[in-house]
Amino acid sequence: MASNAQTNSVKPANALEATGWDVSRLARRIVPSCIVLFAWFVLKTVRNWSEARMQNEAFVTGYSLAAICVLLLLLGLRKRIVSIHFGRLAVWQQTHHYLGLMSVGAYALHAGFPTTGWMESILAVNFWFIAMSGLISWYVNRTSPSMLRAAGHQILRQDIASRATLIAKKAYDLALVSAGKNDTAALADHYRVGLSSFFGKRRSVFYQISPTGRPRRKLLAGLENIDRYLSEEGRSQRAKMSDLVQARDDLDFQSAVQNRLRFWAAAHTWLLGCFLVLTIAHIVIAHQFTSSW
Amino acid sequence: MLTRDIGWMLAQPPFSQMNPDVFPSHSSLEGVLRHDCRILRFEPSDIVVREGDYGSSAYLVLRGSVRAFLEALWQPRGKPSDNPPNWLAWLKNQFKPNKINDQTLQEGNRRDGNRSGRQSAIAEKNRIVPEQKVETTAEGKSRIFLQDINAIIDGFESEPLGVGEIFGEMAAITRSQHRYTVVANTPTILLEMRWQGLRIMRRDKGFRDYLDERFRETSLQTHLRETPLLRFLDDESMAKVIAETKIESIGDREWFSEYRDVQKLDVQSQIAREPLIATEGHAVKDLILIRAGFARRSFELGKGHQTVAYLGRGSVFGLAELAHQFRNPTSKPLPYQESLRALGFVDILRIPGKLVLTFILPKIRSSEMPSLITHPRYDSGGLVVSESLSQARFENAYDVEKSLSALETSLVEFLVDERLINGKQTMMIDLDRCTGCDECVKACASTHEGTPRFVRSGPQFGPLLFAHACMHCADPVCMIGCPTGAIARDQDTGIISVNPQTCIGCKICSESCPYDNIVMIQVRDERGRAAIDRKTQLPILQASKCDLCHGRNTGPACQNACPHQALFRIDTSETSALENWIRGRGS
Repeated sequence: MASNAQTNSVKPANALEATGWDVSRLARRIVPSCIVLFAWFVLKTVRNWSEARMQNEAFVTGYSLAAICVLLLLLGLRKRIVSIHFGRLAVWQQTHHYLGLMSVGAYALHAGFPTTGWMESILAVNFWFIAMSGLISWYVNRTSPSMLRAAGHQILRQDIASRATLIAKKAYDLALVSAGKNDTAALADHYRVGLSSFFGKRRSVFYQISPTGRPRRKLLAGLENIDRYLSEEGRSQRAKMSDLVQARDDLDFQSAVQNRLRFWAAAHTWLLGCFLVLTIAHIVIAHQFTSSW
Repeated sequence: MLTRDIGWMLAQPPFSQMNPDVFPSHSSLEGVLRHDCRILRFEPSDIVVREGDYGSSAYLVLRGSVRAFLEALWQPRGKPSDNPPNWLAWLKNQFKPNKINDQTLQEGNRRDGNRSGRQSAIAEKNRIVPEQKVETTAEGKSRIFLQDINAIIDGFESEPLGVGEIFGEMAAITRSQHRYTVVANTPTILLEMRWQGLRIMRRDKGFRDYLDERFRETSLQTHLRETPLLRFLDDESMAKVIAETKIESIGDREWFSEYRDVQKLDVQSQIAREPLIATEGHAVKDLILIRAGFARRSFELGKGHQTVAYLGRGSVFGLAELAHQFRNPTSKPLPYQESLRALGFVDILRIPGKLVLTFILPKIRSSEMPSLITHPRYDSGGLVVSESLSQARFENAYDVEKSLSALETSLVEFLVDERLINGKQTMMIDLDRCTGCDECVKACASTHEGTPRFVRSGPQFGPLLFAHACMHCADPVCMIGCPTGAIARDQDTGIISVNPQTCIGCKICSESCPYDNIVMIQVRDERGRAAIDRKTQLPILQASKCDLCHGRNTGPACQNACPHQALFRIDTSETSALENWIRGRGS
């Protein structure tokens, strides 16, 4: 037996399962949260101080918010620069999350709720949409890996369409074979009525937004119901058809999850771009109509 | 090389003793000397070969002499910890340039393990630290030499090599690191033979036998001197061990040619095809040391074999059984509890059991002594069958397994079956974190003129995806057969990269890579137009593979670009890195 002794070990049964929260993991979240809270209090104090000195406190909070928004935009810039080392993207992403949190606090100090004026209202709606899309994006990023894993081996997004076509062809061929015999023809009939559209078309928008296993379960139950009309050979073909339904559903699920991720990331970016343009307009107007800072 | 030099070389041994008829017409001996060899000149104290560098050539001494240092001139640096750092260190590291991969490789390239007791003793006596100097000669060439060579020769054990002797062939043949440093002793002229040429020269039986014999002699000595288990042996005992130890090469050096076909077979048939080095239940005659390559430790379970671990360079097999015998001299010795099989190709050393019991075990530390085998799977009567068999054997097997490798058995089996054990920089993606955003692929493409050097898919084990990205293997079989030497390993970092200037698109490397990690891409000009061969009108191809963003100060772009810290590079050739990663996975 080999002698390279390894004393520390993990139990084989759960070696690859993530082990819950630990101190350093918590610390990684608590420390930046405290920094955000502290920064917010500093901003609030400066705002109050400015207010007490009869200055226009909106400029303090407004420019702070604008600065945070510019910093938030830097993540997109960082993603496009790979030839220069600016630290790991994961750190930028984390910083982006906490700055996003800070921006909500700064916004609350700056505009409060509700806002008045049409320009301010558009900006407010835009801001809350950004915050919401960011939050959803964060949530989707957190939950997608486990959802993708649940759908079997991870498949590259660009390969999904070709795989779906292949599965559809296999299902069609299987239906064609089953149509040739009386005791298996029920499968071909079922395919024509209930499955050809499933294999041939894309899933609905509702499924893309919220992928669910209900349609698959319905299709599989429908397939099982025709077992009584099938011979032994027919049942084996039916089992293969069920496998193809499952495989196609897994592909659709992976596609929906990955599309959802990209949709929210894109929506977040575009909204942030709009917000920046509106913010610049807002700053210009604010300076135009305000007599002093 | 000049024609007159070739004529002179052909008249000198060993070339004069070679049979020219064994060489094919397209690679005659003269052709090999012309294209794969060159004459090099060295001044006294010039470094010819540095320990730890990857070898790609062998050297023949033509004039003068060189000195090979049998012990390490430089202390290996400590290997960086694989444990995930705490949050503060983690935060600090994020803003440092990512040098970990190059560094890890460099650490890996240096000799592993502790220096022997004897070496330490010598080291204690003469502590001058050899210093490398770089100087530009009158001809404008730079030379690297050792300062104060005489003091170094006095302080470190070395062996002179004279005219007609060959060195460096071991590293060149096995595609591994040099195990010693060679320094010119006098003004020296050497013939450098690239491994491609050396491979052709091996067609001559006499030369092949000579190389093999020399290979055995040198590797035996060097390896035994470096084995930590033998570090407390005095010179006399060491000499006896060296005299009795046998070196064996098992399996096929070009194992990859059959690998794809073998992989199609069921697992048990695959295991059955692997050459047996030691069989469970057979008497322990030798202690087996792995010198190069990998071996599978397994035991029979039901109708199949369960893999317990894979052993790489420096591992030993049979020590627990011999230690058991050493501790219980009155009881009957236990046979091998597990089998050992060659995975592809493996070089082993066999130290006779009686020498281990007499010289080695009495001197090793008690903390290094393997624990007693309380529930043997086999005893002198054969397979143990008792009422408590299943539970006791299971527990024992589990303990043994745990002590050797904390990895889940099925993960070990997966790594072995997929031969991922060959990877020094295996790309691993944690699917519990990966969202499939493709930032890694985009970053790779941006760094490499729009063509990503890896595919984010590959063998998958639970939440671990081993992507199709070059693993910078311990045994880079892709380098075998490259007719121009375009694919080569960096001597310092171990990174294997393709030189686009010399790659002729012959596909040999991409077809040799057992992992499909090298792809052929169309050569494009600056405007993105595909280059076409005028004669055949076919696109001109070139091999493309991950180069770990070597030469860029950013580190691997893919790893830096992952927003979820899901992508890692990990050394899967040894289990410790993976174990540490799994252990720290929750944090």
